[in-house]
Amino acid sequence: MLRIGGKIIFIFLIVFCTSCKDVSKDFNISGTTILLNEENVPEKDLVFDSIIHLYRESLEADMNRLLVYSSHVMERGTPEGKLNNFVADLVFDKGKRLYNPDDGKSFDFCLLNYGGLRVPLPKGEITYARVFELLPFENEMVVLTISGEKTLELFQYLARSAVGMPISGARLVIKDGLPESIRIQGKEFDINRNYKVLTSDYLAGGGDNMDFFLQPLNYELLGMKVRDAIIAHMNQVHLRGEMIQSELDGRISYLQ
Amino acid sequence: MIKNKISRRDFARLSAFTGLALGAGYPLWASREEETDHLCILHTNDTHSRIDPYPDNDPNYPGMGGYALRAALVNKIRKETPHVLLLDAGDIFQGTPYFNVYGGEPELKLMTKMGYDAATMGNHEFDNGLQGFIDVLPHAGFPFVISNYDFSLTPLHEKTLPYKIFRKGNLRIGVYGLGIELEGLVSANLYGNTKYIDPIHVARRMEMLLKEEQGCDLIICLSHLGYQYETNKVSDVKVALSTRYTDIIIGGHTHSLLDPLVTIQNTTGKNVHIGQTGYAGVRLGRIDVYVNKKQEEIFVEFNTTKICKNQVF
Repeated sequence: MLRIGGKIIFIFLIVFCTSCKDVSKDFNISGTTILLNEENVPEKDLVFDSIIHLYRESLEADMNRLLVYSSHVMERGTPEGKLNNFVADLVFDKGKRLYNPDDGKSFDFCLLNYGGLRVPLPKGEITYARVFELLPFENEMVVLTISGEKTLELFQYLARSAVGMPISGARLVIKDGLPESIRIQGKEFDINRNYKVLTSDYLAGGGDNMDFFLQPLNYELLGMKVRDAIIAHMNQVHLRGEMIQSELDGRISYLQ
Repeated sequence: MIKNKISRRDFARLSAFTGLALGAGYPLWASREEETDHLCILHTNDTHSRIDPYPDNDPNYPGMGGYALRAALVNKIRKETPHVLLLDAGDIFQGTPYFNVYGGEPELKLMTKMGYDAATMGNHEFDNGLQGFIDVLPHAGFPFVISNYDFSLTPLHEKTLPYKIFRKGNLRIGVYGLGIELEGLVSANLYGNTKYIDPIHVARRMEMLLKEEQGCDLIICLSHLGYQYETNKVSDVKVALSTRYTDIIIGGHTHSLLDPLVTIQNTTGKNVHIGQTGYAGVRLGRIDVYVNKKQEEIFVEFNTTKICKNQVF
């Protein structure tokens, strides 16, 4: 009797004491990453591969579709280039039609970056694939309002840049790495007013060291990607039965 | 009669006996004999629509990555270990023309086929707007777990989960998800009326709920906040330092390669492990969680011995 009674008390004590304690499990945790290469994964999954193949075929058919014809080769250049001007001008035009400003004032000029233009556009057929190669990044169009001082910094940056940045709506003459003349929308630059600049969200975030875009007075997303603006323009030109073209017009020049 | 060391079998027998006295019984005892000792967590982040491997002429990752290789590796690991949890920390979308053309359908379909248990939402999941995400969501046979985006005023309402509890063997694993602030990162017209809630507050609320109310053994945070910033911006490291119960943070967004796992101590002195696998699904993250059985036995032994010494009979 005593033996059984003792056993029951003993059990109860264990249960009681254990349940009072934190019942958390204790873990040993370690982790690593495995590179998906031939050595670690000698055979790809064939079921997955066959599913992907169907998408790939259809994708290639899509991407190899004709978008527009180009009347000449467009390459990026310094201080300006046909490709620079083509992209900046049409982004400027598309932006104009999208932008619905609170204050009724449209943006003054457009600035993009040389590094963002990845490949030239050939003469003749331009496919979707080519435009994706030209602009692989998902850059959004944004309008920034910046002060006159920051705008001057922007043109000083362009003047000392080793490569030609795509601009539209402004003209710059550079002498000895400094701005000699700045004209925006045909008017002399005025440091005492603010300017609105259409650019990409990448540059607006300080990309390519464009620090003058950081902490703008206003930041407005247009809701269209730079690449989509270009595709839209090309579709439109093709529909009109025309070819895309671009010219050098001395918008950025060096004064000897 | 009194043993210094109680075997597992004894526990099972004792539990049947004490069960009568304690009514509902204590789950700890009942599950003793089928103790899960190992969980393997596989994870990806920022796979960015990299469906095919990198081309063979790629300077960094020739022929590497892609869903077919990932599937082969996941299947191999599943054959070797019974308890696998497969998770993604966001930015499944965007990066190759596959996304531009198909809007995320192949990514979600293939992840479902691979057996993903859950994913959280990265900022690029908003790239085709909320409607664009909803349009392809039926292809995902796994939930998007996101705790700090309030979608109640959007069409995405009740289409994601604030948390999910998984049972692997006798382990209860609680998973919650944290997304990055969308303002300034994503166009406002894409995320609509989505409300972003402070990730630290939400993390604390979620881990309390999962641990204290739902009795989870292991708490995992799926995060797209980013590993760490030089600024004061909230990050995985900040979450680790500001939480109490979170065991593992599976991160993304900053494309950090954390190999091996980063282990830091939170303010209570508990280890928190942070994993991230870099970019484009070139790597698969693997976290092995072993239940420390030995310590549990010592713990039990210690108690019984102590009780016995204090008893006169």
